[in-house]
Amino acid sequence: MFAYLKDMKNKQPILPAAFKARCSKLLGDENSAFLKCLQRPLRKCIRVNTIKISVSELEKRLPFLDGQFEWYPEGFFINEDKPGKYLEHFLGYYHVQSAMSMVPALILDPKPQDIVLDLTAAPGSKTTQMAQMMENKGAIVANDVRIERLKALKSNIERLGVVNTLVTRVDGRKFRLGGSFDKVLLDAPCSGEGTVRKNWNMLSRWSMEQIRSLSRLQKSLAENALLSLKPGGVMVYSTCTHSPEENEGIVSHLLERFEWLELEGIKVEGIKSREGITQWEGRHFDRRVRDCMRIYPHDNDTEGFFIAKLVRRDV
Amino acid sequence: MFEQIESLYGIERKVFKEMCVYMLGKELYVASREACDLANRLRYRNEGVGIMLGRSVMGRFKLTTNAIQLFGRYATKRVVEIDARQAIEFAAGGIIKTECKDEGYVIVRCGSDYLGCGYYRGNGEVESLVPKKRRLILQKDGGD
Ligand SMILES: C[S@@+](CC[C@H](N)C(=O)[O-])C[C@H]1O[C@@H](n2cnc3c(N)ncnc32)[C@H](O)[C@@H]1O
Repeated sequence: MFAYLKDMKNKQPILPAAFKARCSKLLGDENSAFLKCLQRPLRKCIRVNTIKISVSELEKRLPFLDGQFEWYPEGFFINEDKPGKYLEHFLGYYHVQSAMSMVPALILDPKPQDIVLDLTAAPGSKTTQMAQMMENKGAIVANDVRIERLKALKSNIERLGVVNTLVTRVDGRKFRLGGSFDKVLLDAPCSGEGTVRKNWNMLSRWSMEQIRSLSRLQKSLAENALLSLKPGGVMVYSTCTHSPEENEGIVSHLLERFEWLELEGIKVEGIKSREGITQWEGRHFDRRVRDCMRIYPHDNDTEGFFIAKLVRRDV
Repeated sequence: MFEQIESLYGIERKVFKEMCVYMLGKELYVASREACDLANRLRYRNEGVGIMLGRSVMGRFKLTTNAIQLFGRYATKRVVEIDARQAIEFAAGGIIKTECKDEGYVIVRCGSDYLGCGYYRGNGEVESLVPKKRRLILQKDGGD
C-alpha cells in the first residue's frame, strides 16, 4: 500500500502499549484526559519576527490570526493550514513555531549584549527567537551536527534576517569553548512524546532502548553545555518529551555531579504547568528537581514540554 | 564595495556602523560585531557568520534578496515600486511588467515591503532574481 494511503487510514495516533502504561503511571487519574488530548490535532502558531516588523503592523495584515498568547505578545494561534504560502512569510515577517517551543528562550531571557550558545540548534526556531530578543546584537553560536538540518537552520536565519549568529557543526558532546558563554540553551534531541499531536507517527519507533540511549546522549550534551558557561551564567535545558529519564533524571544527575550548580524555579504567568517529579520507577531524584517545569498537552491545549533553568554559581 | 553600495543604491555606510562587514572570497557579508569577534576566537571552522550582503557581478554590485529585505529601506536609488499582485509574482520568481529608469540590478519593493533583487534589461520587464529555494511557493507549508 502507498505510504500516504496508510497515513490516511491511520486516523489514530500511534501509541505503543508500553508508552501508554508508563503514561498511566506518570499521570494517574489524568491519563484519560491526556490520551484524549493526543487525538486532537495541534493548533498551529506563529511568532512575529520583530527584527523585520512590529507585532501591531503584522497583526493588521494577516487574515488568519486566531488569538495572541497571553504570556508572549509575539506569539499567535492561527487558523491556517499552510502559513508558508503567504507573502509575509516570504518577507520573513513571521516564523511558524509551536506554542510551548517559544517558552525555553523566554526562560533563558538572552539580552542584546549576551554571548549565547545554542548547542543543538537546528532548524533554528529558538535560535531565531533568541536573535530577535537580542535585537540582532551580541552573538549566538548555533550548533548542530546534522547537515540536512543545518541547511534548514541557515535558510531560517537568512529569511528572518538574523545577523548575530555564527553557525557551527560540531558534536555537542565535544564542543569545547569552556567558560565563554553568558547563556546556553540545550534543547536536546529527545523521544518527542510531547509532539504526538503534531505528528501521529512520532512514536512509531518509540522504545525503552531508545529512551535509555537518548538519556545517555542528553547527559553528556548537558555536562558539556554546562562547562561552556561563564561563572554566573545560565543554562536552559529543554525537551519536548515526558519521560522522566530524559528530564528530571538528567537534571538530577547534573545537580549531583556539579556542586556549583543551582536550579532556579520557573513560572510563566498564563501557562499551566507542573513541578518536576521526584521519583520514578523506584528511582529517587534530587529533591530540587521540583523546580523544573513540566507541561502536558492537555494543560494548555498545546504540545508537551519540559524546561529546567540551571545557574552556575561558582565565582 | 561600500562605495558601490552607496553610489549605486544610496545605502550609506553608516547603516552598517554597528555591524561587522567582511569579505569571503568575492562575497560580502554582514554580521553583528560580537559574532565576528567570537568567530575569530573560536577554534572550530564555522559554517557561516551573519548573512550575505551581496557580491560583485561583472563589476556591478548585486545585493542579495535577504540583504534587501533587511536594508532595502535605506536605499535612495535603483528602487522599483510594484503593486501587491505583482509582489506575489515577484516573490514566486516571475517577470514583472514595469518601467524603470535604471538598467541592471534593482531593489524591488511594494510599499514598505522590500521584496528582493531584480534585474531590469530596459525592455519594460523586471526579472525576479529571488533564488529558487527562497521563492514563495503558493502550495507549500512553512515548516516548523
Ligand atoms: C529538538 S532538536 C532542536 C530544535 C531547535 N532547538 C529548534 O528550536 O529549532 C534537537 C537537535 O539536536 C541535534 N543533535 C543530535 N545529536 C547532537 C549532537 N551530538 N551534537 C549536536 N547536535 C545534536 C539534532 O540534529 C536536532 O537538530
